[in-house]
Amino acid sequence: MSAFKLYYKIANKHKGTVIMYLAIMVLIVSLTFVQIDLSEEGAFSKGQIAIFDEDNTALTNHLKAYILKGNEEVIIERDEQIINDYFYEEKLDIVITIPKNFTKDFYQNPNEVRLATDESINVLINNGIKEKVNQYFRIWQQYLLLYDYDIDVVTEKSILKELDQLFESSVEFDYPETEITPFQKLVPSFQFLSYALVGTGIAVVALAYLIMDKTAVYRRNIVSGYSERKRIVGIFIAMFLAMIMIWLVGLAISAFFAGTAGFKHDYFPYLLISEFVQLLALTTLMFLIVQIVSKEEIISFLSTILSLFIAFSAGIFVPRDFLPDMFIKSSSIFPNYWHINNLLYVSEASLDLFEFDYWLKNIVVMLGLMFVYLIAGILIRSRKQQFNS
Amino acid sequence: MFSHLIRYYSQVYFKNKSNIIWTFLFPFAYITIIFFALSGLMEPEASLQEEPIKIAIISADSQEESDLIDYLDYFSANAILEDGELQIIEKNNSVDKEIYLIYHQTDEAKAREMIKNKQINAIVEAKNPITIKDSQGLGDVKMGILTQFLDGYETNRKLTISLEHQYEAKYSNVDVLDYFSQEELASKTFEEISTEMEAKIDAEISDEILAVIESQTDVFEEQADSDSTNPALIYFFAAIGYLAFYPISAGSYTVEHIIANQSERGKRNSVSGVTKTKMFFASFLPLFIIQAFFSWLIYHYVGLLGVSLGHRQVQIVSLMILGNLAALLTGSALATLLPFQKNLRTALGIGIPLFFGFTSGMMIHHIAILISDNFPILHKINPVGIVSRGLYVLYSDSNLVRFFDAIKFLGIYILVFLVITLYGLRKNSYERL
Repeated sequence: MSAFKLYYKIANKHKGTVIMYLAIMVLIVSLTFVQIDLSEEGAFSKGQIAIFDEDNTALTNHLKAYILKGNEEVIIERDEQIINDYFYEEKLDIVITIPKNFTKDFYQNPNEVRLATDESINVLINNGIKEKVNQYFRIWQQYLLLYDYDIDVVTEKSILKELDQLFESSVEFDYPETEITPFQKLVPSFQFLSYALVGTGIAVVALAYLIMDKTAVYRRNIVSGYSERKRIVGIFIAMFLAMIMIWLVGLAISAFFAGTAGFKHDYFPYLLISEFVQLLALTTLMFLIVQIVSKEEIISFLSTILSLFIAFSAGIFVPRDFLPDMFIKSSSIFPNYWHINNLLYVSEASLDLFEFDYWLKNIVVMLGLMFVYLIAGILIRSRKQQFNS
Repeated sequence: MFSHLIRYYSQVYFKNKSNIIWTFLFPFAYITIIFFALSGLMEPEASLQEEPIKIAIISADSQEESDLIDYLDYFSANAILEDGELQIIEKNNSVDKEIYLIYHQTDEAKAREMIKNKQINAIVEAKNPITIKDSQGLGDVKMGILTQFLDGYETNRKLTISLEHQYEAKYSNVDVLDYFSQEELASKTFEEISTEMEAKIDAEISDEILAVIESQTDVFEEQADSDSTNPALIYFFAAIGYLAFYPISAGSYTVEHIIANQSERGKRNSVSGVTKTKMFFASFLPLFIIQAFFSWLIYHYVGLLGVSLGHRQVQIVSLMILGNLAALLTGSALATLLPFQKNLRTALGIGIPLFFGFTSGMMIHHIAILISDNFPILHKINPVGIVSRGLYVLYSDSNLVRFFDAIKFLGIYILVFLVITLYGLRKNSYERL
């Protein structure tokens, strides 16, 4: 118990640092929530397009309406800097300029006409929009062939009408449309919480332990006759409780932003168990880190670099779809990877059937990692003690 | 004397192991992590080809199924289920075609089993109209692409039917003499003429239509720098902005060693008779030069990884160096303002750059827009954001007007923190220890 108390006394002495790290964590998780609320559902597949039509004919007006269908029109001044600002702020994906006499040239020589574009770096969306436009003109060319490149106003009108019917999307979706549920809304914040737990955990929880292990404090403990085993257990419990407190702060922010509706979901206990196991495994990871690292400066370095590495490689900052396999797998030596597997799975399964096996596998791996960290930590500690004695 | 101090503080700096870690190891480790994390975003199409959309095609109509597969074969590959995974069995049309989609023909029960086992992303039923019966693991982007592919098929189907009718009408009253000579007409029966004429018209139409389909129409002008654009650059700009601004702790370090109440070395230096301002600059200068050199190295390292930040090397490196200067002065100002809280200073040294990095979109770009819309002042004074936006305008703008705006903002920031540092040093010199 005395080790437990001493741990919190030391933590209390560093409360400025603790508060600062917690404040950053609160800020990151809160802003993530605000961001989730503000970003529209499906915004990634919706292009934001500005069209400058210098020709202004029936065909170009039709083309404009066709391009904008399912996308969002951005009304913008034709100024390079303003356009670049819009690109940077992700308010615009592509600017398409239809030149003067485009229609006339197209009817005469469809293969020679060109549309000018100014594009953001959102390649995937821009290429999708461009392919859509190319398809429009491929189909138009079929009609030019049919009418032997002789298009009068009446023919043009009838073709445009027919094109409207052709382009009416008819792919059907035979399954219920999924809306983000309050439960699913919790998941991204829990992912960020997983990142914050590593950063804050190393910087606060591990650091306090490191200070406790500093020679003077450690010697005082040894000479007091306090058993080493009791001391380790006391510190470990104190560390775990500190981790839980940090986690509770994150949970409170989640409840504040997403409400408590998600907590009542049937699968929430599964998520909670996974969180709990992750916390345990992370605490043992902190224990191991302190056995390896003996300098406060290196702890600070680790808290930054390790948390960022885990956040990027486990798919917290960037969706796993875009990460190289090897990079994702490199994070599997940390419990966060397996916990995020569970978060993603439980979120997805909340709309479908829950398979216990997959969830359990991730829990077992986290527990396995926990034992590995613990045994490695104990071994390193006893080696260090042997060396010191 | 000043040159002696510079030599002395350089040696002191390099003898400190934590300085070595933060200056040498951290920036390169961080950029490498960012590079791997964003490599999928840098070439999204290549990433899509590496991880194509997997679908099961179930058939309600064999003709529809065959037509759909003919259409998909332009950019897809057929696959079979082997060892629990879809394995491509053929690559039609051309060996090196780009594959965005893998399809597997099966029945509904097996398809449902496969989607449950996450072996496929969607079940597509080949019927009129095409129906997506279920999907899993497809984000917005991939779902949009799949729908666009299938919409393309639906449009082609409708187009074929429509053109068929219109061509029939067009050719219903053609002159038979356009296709046969008088001699041929005399030598053939009516049935033979009718059949052959139909075949000739069909071939004529098919040739014309095929010519258009295969022409791969591209109405867009080629982009001048299309080879250097990649969607991950915005994140790189923010990451480099963060790295430029991270040496706050190093800035604190410069002051710690000249003020008596902050370190043993400070005590010794305070009785040396040299003014604090002189010692500060002597301690600050080598550190600044080292950081500036590393900024230049990071610029080249990023280039070595294949990420082009643009061709304005001098301006890019200058911006990074000014970011370093801002960070070092923030650190030194903190050390003079919080002389007794070393732990807090260390925490702030990590926390401030991380906070500014996060709010400038280093982790989620949308956050930067959120901050710019709701907290414009924070957005404007955020040094990581200034460097990050400065790098962006250097990349995108044809002139340097906005780059100089960024320099101006950083200049003001630097000046403010320099004044705070010098004022703080002066305050300490009055023995308020």
